[in-house]
Amino acid sequence: MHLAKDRGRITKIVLGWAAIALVLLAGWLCAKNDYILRLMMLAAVDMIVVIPFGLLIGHMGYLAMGQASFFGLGAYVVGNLTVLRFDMDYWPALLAAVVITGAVAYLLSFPLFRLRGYHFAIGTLGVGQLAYLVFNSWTWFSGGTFGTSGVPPPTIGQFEISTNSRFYLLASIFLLVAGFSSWWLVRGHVGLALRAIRQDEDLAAARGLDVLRYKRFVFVYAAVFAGLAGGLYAPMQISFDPSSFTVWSSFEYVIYVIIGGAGTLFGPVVGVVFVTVLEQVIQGFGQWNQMVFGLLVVIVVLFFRGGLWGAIRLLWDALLPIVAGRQRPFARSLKAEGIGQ
Amino acid sequence: MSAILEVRDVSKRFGGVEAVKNVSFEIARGGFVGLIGPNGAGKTTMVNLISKHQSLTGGAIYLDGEPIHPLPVFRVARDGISRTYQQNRLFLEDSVIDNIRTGMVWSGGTIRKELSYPGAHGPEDARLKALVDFFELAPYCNAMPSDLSHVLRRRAEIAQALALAPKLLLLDEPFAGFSREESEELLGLLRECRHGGLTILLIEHNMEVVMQACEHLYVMHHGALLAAGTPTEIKSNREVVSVYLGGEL
Repeated sequence: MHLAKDRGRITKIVLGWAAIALVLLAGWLCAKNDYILRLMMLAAVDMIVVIPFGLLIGHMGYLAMGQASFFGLGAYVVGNLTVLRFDMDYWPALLAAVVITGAVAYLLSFPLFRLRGYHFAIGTLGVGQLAYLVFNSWTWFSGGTFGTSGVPPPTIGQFEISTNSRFYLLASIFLLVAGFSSWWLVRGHVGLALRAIRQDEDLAAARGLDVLRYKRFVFVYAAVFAGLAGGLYAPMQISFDPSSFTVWSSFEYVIYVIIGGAGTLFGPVVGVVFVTVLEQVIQGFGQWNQMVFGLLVVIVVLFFRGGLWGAIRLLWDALLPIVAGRQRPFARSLKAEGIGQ
Repeated sequence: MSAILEVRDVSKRFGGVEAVKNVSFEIARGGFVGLIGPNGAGKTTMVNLISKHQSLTGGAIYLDGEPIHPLPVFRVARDGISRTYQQNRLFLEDSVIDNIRTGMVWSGGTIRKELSYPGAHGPEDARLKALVDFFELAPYCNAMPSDLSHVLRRRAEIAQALALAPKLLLLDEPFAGFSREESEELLGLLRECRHGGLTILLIEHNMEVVMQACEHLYVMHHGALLAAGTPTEIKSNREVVSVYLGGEL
């Protein structure tokens, strides 16, 4: 009985993720225009950053305002190791970018998690600004204001990933990894812990939760994927410089999460899609485009408190009342045991 | 009977204010002990120090002979001290059942064979069911805490605290806002837990409940320990009566 139920659940999960992979593939097949492909490629990179980042600010409730620093660190480590100072192959350089970003985030977590609330936000803002200054000034590492150019494209055997189309597919693979791992974390005990930390971390600690360990884990996890995304971003560009990793870039990640729906897994994805499309649409407004962008962001935040994903779910629930009747996972498992009937 | 908790020369200073001054006391294993005193006496600070919500300025606290004052909050909780709060605290976005389960999930499935109160040991779901049934929360399992009455929220909070299978339960004014009947019901449940091996430290302003429930009392005043003894001894202690009770009981 349980085995059949488990098998059914696993089948649903596999089918769900296969459907998501198909959507990514369908996007690739439909986009014949290279410009659209480039937008999709960059959006996929942003999604790799914001899905895990959503766990930090949405699920755990810690507003971090320096995430672009980890993205930039990943990009610069790859640039430094492959072209600027060394002659390393792309893949080991990408691995180094992930490890170094994770290590830096781990070390930063010690002072940062002495802070909470607004103080934590300001602390991470400081880290973001500090990183920007380092990228600007430490020429040996980053190439300074001139930036880093000519990161060689990744290769798999003789197959070179050098077009927008191929980069999109590569980014999509890592996007699936980011999405699946975040989903897997959120649906289990980690998700319960993060929700508890957001609600009342002192109470969570009093109930035996090693709060600091979870906070560190999620911070490093989000930074690792930001570093990975940065490492993927490096060869996608002819050149990149510190202006791509400013504090404003960090704000953009926050905007993606908030607009899309903080505390949801797919909200940040919706946020990236919305902002990417919006930026294209408002180009027609000329010098007024930033004002229109700001106005629309305010409208979304004002009228959709749960973000766009929240609005989509509300609509879904209204259309399919049967979906609204579903229960929380724990309550469901308990009902199966005859508790809470 | 051996002491489960030893508090030795504990002090807590907030800037220029000494909230707790060199307080020492012991709680016997399986006891139902009261900590009383007027507002501002330092009772809640004492509970915060024992549960490590606040750090000591001086002194030491031992649980089963092991120092717990250097440990973080979650370790103290896992080692066997659980607590409730003066202002009812639950995870408001989670259902009652999820709230109770949190304690089990995070305490690492603690099993203490010496304890036999509901939910103290056994498989996770059985422990959960035992606690839900014991506190008569079954009809409210899927309700959110904000939908419950004050009394039910308090029961859910105590059930959540007991889900850690603690050796020592610290209760900070659990009877506040309760009618006499509601107090008696909760007291009955706590007594049952106590018979199952649970040690209870109760902070309470309701003297009727304190005198009825506790077999030993500590009285704090201005951050210091003023008196200790049985309820009968405390009732007849002139110093206590003058600073706290304001007359004979």
